[in-house]
Amino acid sequence: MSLDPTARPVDPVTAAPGANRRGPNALLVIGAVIVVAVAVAGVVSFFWTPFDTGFTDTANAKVGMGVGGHLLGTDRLGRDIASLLMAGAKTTLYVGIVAVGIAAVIGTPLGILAAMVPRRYSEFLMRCTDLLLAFPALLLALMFAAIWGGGITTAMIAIGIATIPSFIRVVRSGALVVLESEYVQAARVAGRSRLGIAWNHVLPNVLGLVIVQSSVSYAIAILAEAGLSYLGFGAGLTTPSWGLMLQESQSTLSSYPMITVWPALAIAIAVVGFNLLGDGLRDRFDPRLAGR
Amino acid sequence: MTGASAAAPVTDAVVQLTGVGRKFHRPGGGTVTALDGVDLTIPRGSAFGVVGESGSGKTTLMRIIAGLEKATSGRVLVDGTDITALPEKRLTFLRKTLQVVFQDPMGSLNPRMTIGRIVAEPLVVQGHRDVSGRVAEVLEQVGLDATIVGRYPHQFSGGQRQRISIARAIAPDPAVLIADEAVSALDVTVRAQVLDLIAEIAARRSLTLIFVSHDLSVIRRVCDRVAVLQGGRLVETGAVQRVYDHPEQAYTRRLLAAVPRLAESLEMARARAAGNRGGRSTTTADAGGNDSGTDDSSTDTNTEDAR
Repeated sequence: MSLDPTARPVDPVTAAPGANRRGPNALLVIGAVIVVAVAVAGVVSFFWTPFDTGFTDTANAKVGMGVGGHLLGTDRLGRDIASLLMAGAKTTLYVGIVAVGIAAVIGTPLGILAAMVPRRYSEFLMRCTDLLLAFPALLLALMFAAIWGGGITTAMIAIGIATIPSFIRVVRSGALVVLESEYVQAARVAGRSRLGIAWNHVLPNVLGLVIVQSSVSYAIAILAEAGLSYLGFGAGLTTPSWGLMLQESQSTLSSYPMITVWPALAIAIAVVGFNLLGDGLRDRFDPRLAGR
Repeated sequence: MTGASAAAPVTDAVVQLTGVGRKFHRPGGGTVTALDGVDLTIPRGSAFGVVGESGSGKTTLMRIIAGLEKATSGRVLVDGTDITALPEKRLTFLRKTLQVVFQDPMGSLNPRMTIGRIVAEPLVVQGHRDVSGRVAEVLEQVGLDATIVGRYPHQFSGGQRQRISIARAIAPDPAVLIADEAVSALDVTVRAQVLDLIAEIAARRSLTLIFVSHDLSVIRRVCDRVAVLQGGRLVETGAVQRVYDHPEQAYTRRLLAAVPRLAESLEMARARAAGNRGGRSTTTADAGGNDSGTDDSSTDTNTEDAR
């Protein structure tokens, strides 16, 4: 198809599925592998972890790698770090899915709406978006925690709401391109209603952007959850969480640094993984950025 | 295509514009006049060309007739109904009467919809019955196989996509077909075929064809009457042959001189093809869609009809 003399640079948001110009990008593959690994660890932890996460091996507390059968050693109370990390992955995934889900489900329709309504309404919507954008997820979560009390549910909702503006902006800009396209003109000539155009033409063509934004937002959600749990506003003491592990390891930081290093590493790797996946997917869906 | 005599009184106008103007507001303030006092009558059943350079207002004119944009002054009658002030929701009759084939073969088909859904769109929206039967019928009329309904636009060449676009436009059986630069983005050899297909369909269905193009030679091939636009004003109108052979306006003469003729372009393309016998992918790809089709003379070969 690329030999077609009528071929033009492909419209960023309408690039056909399967019409990719390049093979899989190495960074995209690394990102995907990390994300899948985190997901598998989290899912497996439902059924099996090397040790029970509540089991305190008092004889082997604060040991290093491999001692007493503990792959990554144990923490201050003698709990198995590898098991805690796996269970923490579960919490990370759960929080991320709910938070990003809230943001995508609310932000995508609002973004399409902002692109389709008359200018004075969209201006209002976008100024509200800017206002919300001024509150980082952490700040919003602290506010919510102050009002309704901390906890993982408050954290998820706060992170989700704080992520809505980024979805509105990305979806709106994509929708504006789609609305200019000739196939939307053709749909209007066919007599499609505005709602019909939004559902049949705009939404399917901005979904790629939504997926990319979800992946990037997921990384931010992981960080926010870890931060909140670290501060004590996120996961409760009984919920396994990487942020909580960091916080608990503080007292032993100077004497047993590895107890801090493992959860920190898990957070860093997961965030990098989701970011790589998002960037890789963006390259695929948005040829404007390709080759940068 | 029998040319109506330029002097014949218009008995039945399908599109009538009276003093139509369109101004756009610049974001930074100030206005741009895209159309200014255009009076135009398009007789029913005619093949009417609208020609002008980019910026002449021809696309704005087309969009106003198609109800995609509102005139800021004047009156627009389509099939006897004044559409000037009608909101888009109340243009149902226009959607049944008038369809458009757009310029860009890559951009006029939703990449996430199958060909079947694309061609069926006007039928579904307008509540027709036997949608799949009609879709198969119009696909065959444009020289494509009806079995392609499950495929996606990116699997087709530019010429094939333009055929799909034509199929979508004629599916609801409109009385008026607007072609907006419908062949400008195509390779010259494919251009001639698609052009002939549009002319043939317009003649067979006794459609009123409104052909918008910057290329007078393209208009000459399919139209009997032509209107020349310059800077938003109508500078000349009349029978194609007359305007082509004896342009009254200096602007029309310049336009004629500036545009390379389709026949010449074809010659050049053929010469190039003879130079490298590697075989062009587009022409073969376009033929691939046709050899299973059952259509007649104008669509089945690549070179034969490129006179």
